[in-house]
Amino acid sequence: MSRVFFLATFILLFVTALAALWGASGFNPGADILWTVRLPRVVTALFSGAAVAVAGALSQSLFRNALASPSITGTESGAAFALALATLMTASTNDTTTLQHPYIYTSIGAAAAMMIAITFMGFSINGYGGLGHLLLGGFAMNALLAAGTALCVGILMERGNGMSLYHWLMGSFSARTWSHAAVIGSGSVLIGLIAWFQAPTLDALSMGDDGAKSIGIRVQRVRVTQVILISLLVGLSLSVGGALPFIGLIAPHFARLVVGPHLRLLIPISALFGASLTVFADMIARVARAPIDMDVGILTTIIGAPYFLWLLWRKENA
Amino acid sequence: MIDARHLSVSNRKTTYFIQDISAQFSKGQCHIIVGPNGSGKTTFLKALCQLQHHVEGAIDIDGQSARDLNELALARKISWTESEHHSPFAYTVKDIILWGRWPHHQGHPSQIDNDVVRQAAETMGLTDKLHRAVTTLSLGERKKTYLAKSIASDTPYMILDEPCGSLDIKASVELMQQLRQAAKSGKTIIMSLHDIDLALCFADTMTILKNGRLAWHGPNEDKNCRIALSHAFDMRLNETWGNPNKYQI
Repeated sequence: MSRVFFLATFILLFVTALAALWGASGFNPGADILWTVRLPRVVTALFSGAAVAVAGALSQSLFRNALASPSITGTESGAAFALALATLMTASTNDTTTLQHPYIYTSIGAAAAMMIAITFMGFSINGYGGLGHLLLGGFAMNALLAAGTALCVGILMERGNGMSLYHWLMGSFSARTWSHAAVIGSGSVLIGLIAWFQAPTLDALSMGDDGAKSIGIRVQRVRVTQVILISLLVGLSLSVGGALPFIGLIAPHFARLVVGPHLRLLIPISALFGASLTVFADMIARVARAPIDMDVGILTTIIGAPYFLWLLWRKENA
Repeated sequence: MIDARHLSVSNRKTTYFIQDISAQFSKGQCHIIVGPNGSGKTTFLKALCQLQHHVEGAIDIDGQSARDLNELALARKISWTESEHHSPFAYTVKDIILWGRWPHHQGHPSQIDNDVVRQAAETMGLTDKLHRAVTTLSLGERKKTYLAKSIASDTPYMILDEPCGSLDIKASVELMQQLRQAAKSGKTIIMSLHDIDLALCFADTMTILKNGRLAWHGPNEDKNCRIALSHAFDMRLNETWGNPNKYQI
């Protein structure tokens, strides 16, 4: 196990160092640009990726399904819609980048979307709703929330200032500062630790509601806590870096292949994988079309969606 | 003793899944619930375990109202084994049996818990499978894993829904003998069974449900038990049913 940790940490450090050194103009380790531009960006990406990955691991155990993740169940869409609505409501500027405390809106949006998902998506009181329910319910949730978000973006575009929201929603770490890094860093570490301490209870919850309740677990309380933790993780990461679709699916899934299902190990390893993937994707986004910054969410989708399809295919052919 | 009085479970509207069932389950005995498909066996057992919503009536466990017990106190009294098990993740057999010890360790298992788990696994013949993932096991082996979990929980009351489902004949008879042994040592076993023959061989008391209502409840030896059974299932039972010499291992 310690070997896995060592390897995952090494990958993360390597990717981080590479991303910090590699800029639009090639390798130029100038101290100034490193400290003021690249490092805050890399650190923000790192903790955002980790937060979404942990949110994915928690979602999968909450929904008792290895294919659940914040982007599949509509949690990310909920946060995005809330952010779009908040931007629209701040009548003076309509600028997402100057929004005060955006993580409040995104977290509330994520929580609301999760509550709806839990109520309707085959997540009945007695447990297991099945894959079809999860995916179809997620499809409807995502479509509805995407329509709402598109409406907000459209109205803002008509007013001539929709681009900041648009790029934010597509996921971007461009021009992030140390204050962004501090928000996501402190938040995700704190929430991750709380989740980590609850890990054995979450493991036992895989028996289903009745099974867990019959061994003395307060299922309702655990579930509410999980919804809050996942919403905060997704809300925080979306408020500093925009949506990172599929990181919440790939990272925990890959981590589970390596270390097994126990959340005591799965949470930290998912975080390391999620962080590495996001920093790597952000680096590609930065240099692939330099000097133009691509939106990192596009890249994570390009990597993640085929992986998801492959998982579905493999499940069918298992 | 578990004393259920006028127990009803509904969907809060008009449909009653079980209605007005009263039954006493005394200590140190093997109580078996039988009834045709859809007669409310599982609903009744889950209501006893406080896992049902919209329950009317009262349940006393050792003279204490079940409603007054919190989750943990209840889990230390009653262990519940479902009839079907679905595990979405590849937890090991050991993990699952260890969850049976949760009321005693709450996530921090001691050496004693580990020893109990090993013993329970041995009882169910799972010793060499302790580190296998449940997702790779057969239906019967998975069943045995959850039965071992119930044994490991070491509660005075064991409630089991269809414990012999997907077990082969020898494993079924062995299980029933083990459960009877447990009853002799003071445990109270309440279970539902589809196999009336097995039920007649191993039960101390029989509870017969039909269409959500109590058709009969009393000792197995009672002559009326067989009459009630044949009425409930609409079948004639002759004396070859429930002959304890039938199953020799």
